[in-house]
Amino acid sequence: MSEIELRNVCKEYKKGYPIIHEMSLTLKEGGFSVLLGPSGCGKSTLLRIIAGLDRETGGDVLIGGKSMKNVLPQDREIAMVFQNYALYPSMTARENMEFGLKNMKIPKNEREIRISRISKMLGLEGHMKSKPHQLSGGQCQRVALARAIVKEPKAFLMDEPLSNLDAKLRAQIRRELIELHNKLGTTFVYVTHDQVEAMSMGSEVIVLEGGKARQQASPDEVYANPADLFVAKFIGAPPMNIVDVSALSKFGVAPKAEFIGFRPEKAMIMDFSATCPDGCVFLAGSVAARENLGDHSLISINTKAGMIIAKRFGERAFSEEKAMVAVKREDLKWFDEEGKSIRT
Amino acid sequence: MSKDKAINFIAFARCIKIGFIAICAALMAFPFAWMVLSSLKTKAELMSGGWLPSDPQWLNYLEAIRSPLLRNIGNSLAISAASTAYQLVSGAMLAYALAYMSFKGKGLIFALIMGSCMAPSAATYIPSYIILSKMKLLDSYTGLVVSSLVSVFGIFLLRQAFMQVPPSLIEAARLDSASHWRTLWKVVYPVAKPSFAAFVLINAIASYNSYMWPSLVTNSPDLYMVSQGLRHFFIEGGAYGTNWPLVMAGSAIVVLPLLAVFALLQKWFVSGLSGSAGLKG
Ligand SMILES: Nc1ncnc2c1ncn2[C@@H]1O[C@H](COP(=O)(O)OP(=O)(O)O)[C@@H](O)[C@H]1O
Ligand SMILES: [Mg+2]
Repeated sequence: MSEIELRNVCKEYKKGYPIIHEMSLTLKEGGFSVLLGPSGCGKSTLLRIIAGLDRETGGDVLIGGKSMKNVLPQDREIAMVFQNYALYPSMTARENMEFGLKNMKIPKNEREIRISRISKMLGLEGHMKSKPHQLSGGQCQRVALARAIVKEPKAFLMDEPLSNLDAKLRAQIRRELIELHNKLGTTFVYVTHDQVEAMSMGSEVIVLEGGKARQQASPDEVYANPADLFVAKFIGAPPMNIVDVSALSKFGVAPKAEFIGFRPEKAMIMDFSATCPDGCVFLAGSVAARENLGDHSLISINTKAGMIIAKRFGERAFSEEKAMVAVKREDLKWFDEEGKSIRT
Repeated sequence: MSKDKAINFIAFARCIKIGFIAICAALMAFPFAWMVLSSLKTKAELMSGGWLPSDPQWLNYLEAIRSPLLRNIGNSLAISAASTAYQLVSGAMLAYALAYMSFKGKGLIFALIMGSCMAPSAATYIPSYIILSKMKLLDSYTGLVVSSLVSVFGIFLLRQAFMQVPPSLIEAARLDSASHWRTLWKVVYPVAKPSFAAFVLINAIASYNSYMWPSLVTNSPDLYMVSQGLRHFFIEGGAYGTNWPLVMAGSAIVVLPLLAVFALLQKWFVSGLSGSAGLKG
């Protein structure tokens, strides 16, 4: 039992300035839950509240159905992986892993078994006698993971663990983390501001902004059906195109809709003179920029509704100066005046 | 052309820098050299001036060693070691609490500790003396150690060093179920080692050099510390009969333990004072 539940959790460092607003969330047992949001939105604070390193000012945290109100961090049976790894500098990789086990009074032979199994799992056998300053960033990250795993916790809490690594290593460890999660089957709570990490690893994504949870859903769902304009603009590279409803009013719009959004890959680019296919809305404009990104290209089109970015895959280059953007009606997302999604 | 000039200038600046440091070093070393040279002269030779002893009087050292000076050095070393050890443990614990724990009144406690630095030490002599006498610890080793169990400067030094340690290390240790005591000695201490070395050096020297307070609370010559022992040389021969070469020989012997400690710790000492917590080590 290691479901993590937040009930109306609030946090304020200064009276009247809440960092986390009455947040209620359930993070599934055995899930890979990613807390995604821009810098400063309270992700780390939330994770630290779950760990017990910070106290919530209101509400309650439950782990495995048990209130954590009076449970110390070390007794919550969770392990945390820090952004800067937080390895003990004076200890070898092995001692780093063993420190917690010794403190937990785990017998020596059991410690040996766990450490050798996990170090093999993470490919650390050759580095067990090295101190952190002798290890590369990726190796430090693995030691930090190993240190967490040997404790066999109910849940892993990770705070931007990949942000100090270079892009290539990040992609590699991302894959390793997915594999690790499949192997261990333990609850993962993962904090990041990087949507690629969230989309690629999460079994569910919780998008946070300004101390509030904007949407909790699978990565596919968050991408396809963002709950509001913030999520729509935060996820996707480039993000969803948003236009004012007036620009497309002649095609008939959903009631109460104020904004319309569509993903760049749903925007079809056609010659200015082409006849639009049925069931599409379209906007005319002039091409402002072309970016070739290898397998696809991005074309920015200046329309009277603003700049629209369209993504084209592996087609011949679009060389016209004027263009027509067409979007299938079913690919349009509608948002009301508060930016909330309208399901049609 | 201008590149050559720049190089010349850098070389010139370097010469000036090295020259300046050399002069400073010579100024610092001069009294020591003078002390050692004087200790090898006869009394008459010392008074008449001149640099080198014509016939080195090694017997001065033998005489100095035969006096109670060695016993005084032993006293000083033992008392410095004991009080520095206590100061280290109490200082580390206090600094740990001040740096990593949050509790009500922390700011006030820190202010009080720092404020006690402001009181001139002479003002504390009388109350401390009365306390020691009430504890029946006057004129005893214990009394000398008890009166310096805590070093305010040490607390401050260690607190500053502890603040440099990334908080996530302490939190990681906490999540690893480590007690505060284990966190302090297994996680914080290795990182803040240079500051601990500076701590030991500064407090050991201060304690070894102390004169006023030990002479207030001790009476029996058996308990004399080095500075009291040295003073004995001065007064032995009366106001005009001070045997200066002997005083110099004694002083040279007295300085040796300090030089040894400093040689041992100086690598740590410098980085400890310059504030780098030595995270690389
Ligand atoms: N100890 C603290 N005292 C005061 N404000 C804090 C403290 N820690 C974080 N904050 C504030 O809380 C907000 C959220 O911080 P954080 O949870 O670290 O954001 P994130 O991890 O999403 O970037 C920030 O505005 C930050 O300034
Ligand atoms: Mg953060």
